[in-house]
Amino acid sequence: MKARLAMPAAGLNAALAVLAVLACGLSVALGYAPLDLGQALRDALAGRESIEALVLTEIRLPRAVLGMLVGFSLGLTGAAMQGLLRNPLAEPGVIGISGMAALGAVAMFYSGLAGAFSLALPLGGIAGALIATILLFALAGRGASMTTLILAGVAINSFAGAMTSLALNLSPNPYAATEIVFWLMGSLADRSLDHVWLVLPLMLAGWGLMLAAAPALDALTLGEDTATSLGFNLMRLRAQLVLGAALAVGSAVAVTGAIGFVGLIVPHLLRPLVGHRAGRLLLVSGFGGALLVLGADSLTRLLPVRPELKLGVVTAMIGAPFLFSLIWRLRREA
Amino acid sequence: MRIEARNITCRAGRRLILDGVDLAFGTGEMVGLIGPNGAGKSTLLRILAGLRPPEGGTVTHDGNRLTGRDLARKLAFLAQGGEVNWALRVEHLVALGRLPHRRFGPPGTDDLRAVENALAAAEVTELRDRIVSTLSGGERMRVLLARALAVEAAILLADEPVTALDPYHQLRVMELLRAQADGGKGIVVVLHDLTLAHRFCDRLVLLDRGRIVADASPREVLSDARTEAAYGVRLLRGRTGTEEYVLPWERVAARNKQDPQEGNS
Repeated sequence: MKARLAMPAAGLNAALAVLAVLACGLSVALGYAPLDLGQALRDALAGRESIEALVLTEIRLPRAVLGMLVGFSLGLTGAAMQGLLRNPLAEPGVIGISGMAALGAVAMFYSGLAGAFSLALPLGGIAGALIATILLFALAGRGASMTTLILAGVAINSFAGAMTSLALNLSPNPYAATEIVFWLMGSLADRSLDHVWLVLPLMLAGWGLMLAAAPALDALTLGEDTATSLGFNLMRLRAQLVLGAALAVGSAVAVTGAIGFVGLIVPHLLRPLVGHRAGRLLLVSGFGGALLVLGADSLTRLLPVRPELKLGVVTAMIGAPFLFSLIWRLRREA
Repeated sequence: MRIEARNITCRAGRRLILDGVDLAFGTGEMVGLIGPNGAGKSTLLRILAGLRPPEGGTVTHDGNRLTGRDLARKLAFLAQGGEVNWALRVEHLVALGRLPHRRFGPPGTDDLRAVENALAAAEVTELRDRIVSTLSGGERMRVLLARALAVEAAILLADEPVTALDPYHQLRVMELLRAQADGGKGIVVVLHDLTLAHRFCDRLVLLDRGRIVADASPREVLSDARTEAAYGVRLLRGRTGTEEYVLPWERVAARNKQDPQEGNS
C-alpha cells in the first residue's frame, strides 16, 4: 500500500535523465568534421586553444547543452500548460509567449540589429516574451477566467503572426526574408556558449516556478472549486505558471526559433507512466523534452539530407502524425 | 468547530442572489440546504466554503476568519458535477484530499492512514485500483466523497451529491453522509430531493429567492404552507412504522414568482 501510493516517479525521472545525458553525449560526438573527442576534452580542460578544443567548446557543446535546456523547457512548459488548462491539446505556445518571442527576434532581423551583435536575436526574443507576459497579465490578470487566458493567448498569437508576416512583406530584400524564414524554422546550429549563459538563469527561474506548482496542478485535476477548497490560490497559480512559461519558453524560442510539437507530444506520451498525475508529469516531461529535442537534433545531422534539415521541421515531421493519431484516439474515447 | 455566516449578501450583476442570510452550524449535525432552482443554495454553499467572497456580511470559523490552507484543513468541499480531468487511479484521487496537509514529498503515515480510512468510510476500498473514468456515476460519487473525507476536516459541505444518482446510490450516499454526522462531523448538504432531505437531515434550511424562509427541523420546515409557497408543490405525507415520510406529489397554482430585487430596490 505504502509503496503503491508513494509510487515514485523517481525511477522514471532517473531513467529519463540518464537517457537525456546520453543523448547529450551523442550530440557532442556527432558533427561534420571528424573530431578526436578525448584530445578535444583534454585540450579544453587544460586551457589549450587547439582546433579540437575550439570545435568542442564553440560548436559541439553549446549545441548539445542548448538542446538539453530548450527541450527541458518545452517539455516542462507543455506539461504545465496542459495541467493548468486541463486539456491534452494545450502546448507551450498556447498563451502566445512563443509567438511574441519569435516576433521579437524577427524585429531584430528586420531592423538590422541582428547583424550588429551576436546576442541581438535572443535579446529581441526575450523582449518579445516580456511584452507578451505584460499583455497576458493586462488581458487575463485578476479575476479573469481560464477561458479569458486562452482567448488572450489566441489574440497575442494572431497579432504576433500578423506582425511577422508584415516584416516578411516589407523586408528590404529577398535575402533578409529568407533569413527570417529560416530562423523561424528553429535550429540549434551555430549557437555559442554566450547563448547558454544568457538563457540559463532565465530558464532555471522558469523551471523553478513551474515545478513548484506541482501540488496545485494535482488539485486542479478535480476542478477549480475543489482546488480552491484544498487551499490553493488559483490566481497566484496562474500568474506563477504564466511567468514560468514566459521565462522558460520565451528564452528557448529566443535562442532557437520555434520548435513545435515537443511541448505537445512529450507530456502526452509520458502521462500514462505517471498515472496521469499532473504534478508528477512536470519533471518527467522536462527530461522527456530534452531527450526528444536532442534526439531530433542528432537526427538532423545523421540524415543524409543537405542542407541540414531545420530542427523545427524535424520535430514537426515527427509531431504532426502523432497529433493526428492523438485526435483520432480522443475521438474514439469520446 | 462552528461556522457562522452573518448578513450575507451576494449579487450577480444587478440581480440579488443572497439577501441578508444568517446561518450557523457546527459539528455533529447534518443540515440540508434546500430550495427551488435559483434560490441561491449553491452560491451560499460556495460562500460558506470560502470559494467566493460575499459582497456583504461575514463568515467566521470558531470566531476567526480562516482562509487558504488553514481553512482547507478544517473544511472539506464536495463540488457539484464531479469534475475529474485526468484518468487517475482511485487511490491517487482520494490521496488528493491530503494536499492541505502535505504538498511535497512522499505521503506520511498519517496521510496513508487517512486515505485508508476514507476509502473504507466511503466503501470504495475495493475500487482503489480502478481508473476513475471507468466507474459508474454512483461509484464515482463515493470516490469523490472519499477524497473529501481524506481531508479529515471537521466540516463537510456537499453540493448536490445525489442529484445525478440512481435511487440505490442516492440512499447509499445519504447513509454515508448520515454516518459521518453521527460520527461527529458537521455536514451541510444541498438537496433537491425533499424525501431524502426530510428523512436524513437533522435540520433543514429553506432558501427562497435569496432569503432563508425557514431554519428548523425537517418536519417544521416542510409544512404545507412553506413548500407550496417556495416550490409550488404539495407534499404527500405518509408513515412507515414510526417514521414519517414526504413525497412531492402535485403542483399547486400559487407559487410566489416575485423577483427578490423588487422588494429591495
